[in-house]
Amino acid sequence: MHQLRAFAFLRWRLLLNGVRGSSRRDTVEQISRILAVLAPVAIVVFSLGSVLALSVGGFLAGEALASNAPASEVAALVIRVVLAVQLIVVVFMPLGVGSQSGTKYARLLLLPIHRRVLHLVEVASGVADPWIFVVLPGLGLVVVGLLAGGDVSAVVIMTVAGLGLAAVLLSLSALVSFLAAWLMRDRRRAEWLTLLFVGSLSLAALLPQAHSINAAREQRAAKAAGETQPMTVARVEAWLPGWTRVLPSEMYGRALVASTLTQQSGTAVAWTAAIWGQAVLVYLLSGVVHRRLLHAGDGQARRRGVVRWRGLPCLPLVGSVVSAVAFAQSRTAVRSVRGRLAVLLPGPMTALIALVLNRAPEEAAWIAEIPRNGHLVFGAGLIFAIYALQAFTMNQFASDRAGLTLQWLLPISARALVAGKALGTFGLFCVGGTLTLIATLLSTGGSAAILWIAAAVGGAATFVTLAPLAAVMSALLPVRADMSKTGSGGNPHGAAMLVSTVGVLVAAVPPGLIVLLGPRTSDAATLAAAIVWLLLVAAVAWPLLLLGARMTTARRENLYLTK
Amino acid sequence: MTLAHPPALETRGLRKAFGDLVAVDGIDLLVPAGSFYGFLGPNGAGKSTTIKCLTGLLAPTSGAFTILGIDPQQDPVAVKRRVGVMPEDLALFDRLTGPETLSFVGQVHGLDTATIRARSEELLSLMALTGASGDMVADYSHGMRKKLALAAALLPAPRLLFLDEPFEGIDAVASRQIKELLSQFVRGGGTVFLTSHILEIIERLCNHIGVIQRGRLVAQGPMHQLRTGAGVGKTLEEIFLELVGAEQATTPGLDWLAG
Repeated sequence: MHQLRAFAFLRWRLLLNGVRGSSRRDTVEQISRILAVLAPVAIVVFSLGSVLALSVGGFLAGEALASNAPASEVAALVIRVVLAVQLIVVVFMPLGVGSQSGTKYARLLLLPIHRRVLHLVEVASGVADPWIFVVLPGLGLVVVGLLAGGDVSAVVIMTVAGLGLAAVLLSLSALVSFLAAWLMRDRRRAEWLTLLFVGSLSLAALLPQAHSINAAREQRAAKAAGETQPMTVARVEAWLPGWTRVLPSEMYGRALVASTLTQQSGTAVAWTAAIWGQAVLVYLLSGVVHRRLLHAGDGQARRRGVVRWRGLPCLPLVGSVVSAVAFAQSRTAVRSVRGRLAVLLPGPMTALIALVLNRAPEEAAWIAEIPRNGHLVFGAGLIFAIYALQAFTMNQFASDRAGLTLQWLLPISARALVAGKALGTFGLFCVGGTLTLIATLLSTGGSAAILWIAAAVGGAATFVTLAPLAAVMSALLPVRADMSKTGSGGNPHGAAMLVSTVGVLVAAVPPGLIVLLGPRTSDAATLAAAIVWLLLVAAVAWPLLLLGARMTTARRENLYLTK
Repeated sequence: MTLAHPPALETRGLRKAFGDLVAVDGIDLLVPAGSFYGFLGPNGAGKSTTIKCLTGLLAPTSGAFTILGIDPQQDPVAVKRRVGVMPEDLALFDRLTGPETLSFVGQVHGLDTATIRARSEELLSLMALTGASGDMVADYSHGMRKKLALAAALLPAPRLLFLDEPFEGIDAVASRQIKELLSQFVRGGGTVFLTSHILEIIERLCNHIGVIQRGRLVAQGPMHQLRTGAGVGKTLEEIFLELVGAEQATTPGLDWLAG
């Protein structure tokens, strides 16, 4: 018990100290930290609402099932759906968070705790994870609802089943978390896995959209043919694939139905036993991975050995200092998970969006018209590419971490630093933009070549407009960031992200209007207007960028301390 | 004291406070050009904060200083062109390789590609880092990072080197090579300003020392003068313990440790 208390204390102090920060901060920094803390606090407040809703829902469903109310079948179905969603969350959340965990597993070996106890404590401490905690009161209140409905035998069975399900969820969350931490031991393997995971997840997120358009189309066709049937629980049951029966959420749902609606206590007990069997199995499996994780050590990266000498190239016109800063910025960025995602993702995402838009329903024909003007999709893709680079543009100094200290120690003026940063991120934007161009060309209909160029110029103008704002926000609100992380650990300050989100939209309006409306006059005029706009914003952006440089000098000490 | 050459470093009332905490409390350092200056002090005495102020990472709360005769407040870039620094946290890009890091430093100092390459190869070979030239700094061990940071500080051939604990975590072979390298650097007219907890190293390498205690400079001068003042036959450790207070060296209580 004292070990569980020690772990709880550790989590609590880490959270508290993270909020308090160090005394080596100025007022702006303190305000910045407070702002950064407000967002998670708001999330906690909102999640309390979810806990309350699930609890009330659980109670009402339990009562309805116990009293065999008319809506009891639907109530059971809702519980199964909610638990299935919860199961997905339990599997995916630790994957995202696991790689960012502050726990140094090898260090835990030094503690005077038996490995099995350590495993148990770690699994049990998962109760504090929001994605587990949110569902537990609901499970408890299902039983209270059953009690209120007067079904005592169901109360007993579902109490045991509920505890079993909680044990499965805790063990499963721990298993995924340990597995993620074990796989992430090797830095390179970890980064590629993260890239693959986040990339495929982002792209997969668009598939339901395409599916729903298809489903809506089929539904309309069925309705037109007079073949529509009401959605019933039996239809849902029939539609579910066989393998879903082994999901713990389904087993719980079936135990619930068997113990209440169909009054088959034997079947309910069998499902409950199956849940507990699964809990034991997953717990033991998590123990095996936990042992491997503990003994894997901190891991050593594979050496690449000697390679041909390769320095940083020098760009013409900008001078060696700006050039060095720009190359360091772009090269370090593309070697990080966030940087690779920012460069590689906009292209496929734009292509997928174009494909989804292509399948738009007939009554929204204007949507299907968009992908036939490829340059418009390309322009939108460029905006997406700018958003994807937010982590670098809006936190351009602190995201260098110790590299920033090196830059402070070298003879680099603030002006050269800010210009080099802007140039480096512009280089990343160009690479991402080129990939977006290729993806868009492959997935959309043609427009005149001159319009594609106009769209590219418009995208560049949007980036240039944003550059001084990015420098100022980066100097004003730096946050410690790790670009090997995909979660909040690599994000810029929340306020900087908000400013950037609005800023990109505002900056994109003029070039967007030029590219959208220009072709009504002539394609050449569209390109000319886009170029004029680019030159205009560049002329304004340069002095503003110098203002950013001045602010960087003023905030130098805080930037150094933020790394 | 009159000096034949302007000092490599001179501070007047240098002070750095973080809110109520005064880390450096009005120190007057004088580091002669061409000296090997050892800056000593117990943990938390203010050594690293002093170096951070002198190298421009932190802004002093008050006081003035010149480096190689230049006021860094007036022309920080000119000072940095003449100074090499290996700070406490090593200051390296995680995602550049060793050669890329050196190339970055050389390019910022305005060196041509051929010079950068020649010096980089020589330094990487000396630091036994050639075998890891394809690896990113993120994959380096602590000792390798330290050697790379030292190579980066040396690459532009500075006139003054600030080294914060350069021998900590370095193997014996590299440590010996680095000591010889630094001695050669000083013989060539360069100045080294070094902090270290290893008093034997300070005793063997340095010809000037300064001792800081609770943010204040409690002693400064040539090594032989300090020895003469402290009494015949005393080691640097004994002199140091006397300067920072003998109570630091006694072990209070902890009887339960005896079993």
